[in-house]
Amino acid sequence: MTLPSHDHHKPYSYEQSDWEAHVREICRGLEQTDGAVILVLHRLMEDFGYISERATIVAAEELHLTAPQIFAVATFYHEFRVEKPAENVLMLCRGPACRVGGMVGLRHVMEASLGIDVGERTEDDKFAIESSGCLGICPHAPAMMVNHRLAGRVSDAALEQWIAERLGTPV
Amino acid sequence: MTAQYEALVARAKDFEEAESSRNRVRISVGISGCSESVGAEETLAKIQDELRTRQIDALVEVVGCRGMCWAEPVVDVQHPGGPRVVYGNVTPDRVRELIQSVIVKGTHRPDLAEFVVGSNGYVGIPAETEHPFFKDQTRAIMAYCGLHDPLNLLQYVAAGGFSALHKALTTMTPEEVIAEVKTSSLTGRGGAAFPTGRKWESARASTARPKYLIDNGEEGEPTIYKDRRLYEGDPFRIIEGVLINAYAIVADKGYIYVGGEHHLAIPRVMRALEICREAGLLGKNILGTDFSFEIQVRVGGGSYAAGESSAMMSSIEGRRGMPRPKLVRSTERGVWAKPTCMNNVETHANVPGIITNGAAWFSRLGTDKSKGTKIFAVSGAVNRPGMIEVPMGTPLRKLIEICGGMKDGRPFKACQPAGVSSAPIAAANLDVPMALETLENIGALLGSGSVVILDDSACMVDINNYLVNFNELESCSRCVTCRVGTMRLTDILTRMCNGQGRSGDLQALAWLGPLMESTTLCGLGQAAPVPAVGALNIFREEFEAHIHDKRCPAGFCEALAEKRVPVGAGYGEPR
Repeated sequence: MTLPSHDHHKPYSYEQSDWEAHVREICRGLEQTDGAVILVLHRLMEDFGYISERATIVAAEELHLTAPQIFAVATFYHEFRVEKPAENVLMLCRGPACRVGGMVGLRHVMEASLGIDVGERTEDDKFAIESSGCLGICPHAPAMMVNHRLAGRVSDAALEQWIAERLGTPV
Repeated sequence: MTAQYEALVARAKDFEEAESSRNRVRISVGISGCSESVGAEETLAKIQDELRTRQIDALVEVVGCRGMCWAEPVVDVQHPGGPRVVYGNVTPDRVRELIQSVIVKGTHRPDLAEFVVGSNGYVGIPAETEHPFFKDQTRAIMAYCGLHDPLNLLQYVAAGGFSALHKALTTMTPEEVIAEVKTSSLTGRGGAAFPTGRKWESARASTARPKYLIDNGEEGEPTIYKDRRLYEGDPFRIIEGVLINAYAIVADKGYIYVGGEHHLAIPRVMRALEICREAGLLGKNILGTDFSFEIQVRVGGGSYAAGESSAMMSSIEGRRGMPRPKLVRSTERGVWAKPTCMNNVETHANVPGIITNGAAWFSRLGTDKSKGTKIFAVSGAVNRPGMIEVPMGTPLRKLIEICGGMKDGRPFKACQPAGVSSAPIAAANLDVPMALETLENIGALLGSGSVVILDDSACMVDINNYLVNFNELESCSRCVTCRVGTMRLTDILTRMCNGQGRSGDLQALAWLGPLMESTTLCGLGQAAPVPAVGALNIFREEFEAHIHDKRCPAGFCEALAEKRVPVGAGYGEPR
């Protein structure tokens, strides 16, 4: 089992002054592709980490659609986020194999060390616990996705230590 | 033989010769979505590091997933002229030992090795054909998975790759290709099991243009991961199958639709397509014939519903992946309102073998109605969970045996096949042949081939709470009975798990099932209540214990456990 040692950083941010130009650039790069909306949204996720409301409006202009049309697509697929995610996203797999393979222990570790339930985020936006229907690495149960990286055979102790390191509390 | 194909084969031959006269050690590291999660990338980096510091000249290559997930990370070592020995569980901290005792000394370690590729053992290491995991498998579509570099075209061609495409293009008419597929009795491997030959026939009959072809690899269903592993392990086989399909139905444009969360499959398929384009296997005048075809990759966004055929077409058009009414078949009016032929990844992977070896070769395996081999993704309470390929009709008991038997010797309780769409298989049916018709007889489904083995520590109420909740979250919300029905089912089962079950709950469950089945548009809504209703028939006592005795016989539901957890931390599913 390996939990990612480096935290996930995005190359762009909506705070940058040239964010709008970058969104337009992404859209124009996919101009020739039919049904490009989903591909554009994937690029926004990769570069910015989420799809902001203003980015939706800009993309709509470029793709000759309305902002609600884009918002409808962005909120249909689970991969896309329309809100800024927490700094560290801990995604727990709830699939059947993980249920019988140690999911409950991992949930207890997270809830105890962070003081939040699954589906919540800490007040300082540093951590969020999310859950997935299935991460697709069932033989490696219990599975998690930690900061966009799959981690299989996660042990309670390793997860506890990983969180403690980022909380800055002694283990 | 066309000049282009001849040149390609000649290049492949050169590659093979260079390969056999190679005088340095070859190290193959299995990197796939599954092995990555247990540190295979770190293992690879560590191996390269060690080789660099020791100044050892070795060929290090990346291969796909062999299906032996239980032993990942997997590393193969082949000394010049020697056998290819497979080492399992090579975590980064064990790399140094492996390099020291195997690579530096030029020997092998029978105490660490899993098996030798092929049919001959070596210094006490068993051969693949004697290994308990492999000896009962028949690998046709997964033949090169984990053995070949997935992006080495010459390796694929040297092993006979693209000969089926060449054969179809130069010696067969499209009608003959369809007839061969029809005779083979190949059925769709994505879940619905529609006869592939018949689908192609009706797609060919459509005259409107342009005509589209889709390779469906969304795979948003839980507990199944075969399609992404095929993309990662042997993308050329799928591309070859897609091209033969395109030739047979005279398609104009193809899409390969990969699920958005399959982060390793997407770049590998894209790269494989580029390689094919450079080699003249894609684009204009493929292999020097009149046949031209272009394939583009489309990426999903992580939606179970978008894997449904009509929903996927909406998704490719850049809209919400919602199923649409099928008043007209998609082979007449599909994506962009044009004729569309859609097949699953595994279906396409079967096609080259059928064309090369003939329909009789394919249909020699299997049962009366289900032919060929099938990939099963086995997970849960077994000792060797992974991906196996066996003939259709292999008994469930045999599947468990291949996967090393029940974990910790615990008793088998149930098997949940077909993702979230089938009733469970009870212990009394352990000998059921895993084929379409035999599973249907006992009220279960084969689906796409996922198999979750549950032991006595699993609670059937909890598992079904998960299954209906999954359907609730994935429902596209178009049909009221699906949107509200899955909500009600989740409510009922969550209440039961929390010790708040009521006496009318089971009747409500049994009533909702047939209602949803008859009033929803797509297969996903129709199947949503099936697991729970099926489990209720088999495990009624367990459901009743939750309601009447406030007791979880398996001891899984925390709210019903003796050691109570604080209020609010009950087993309700997070939203």
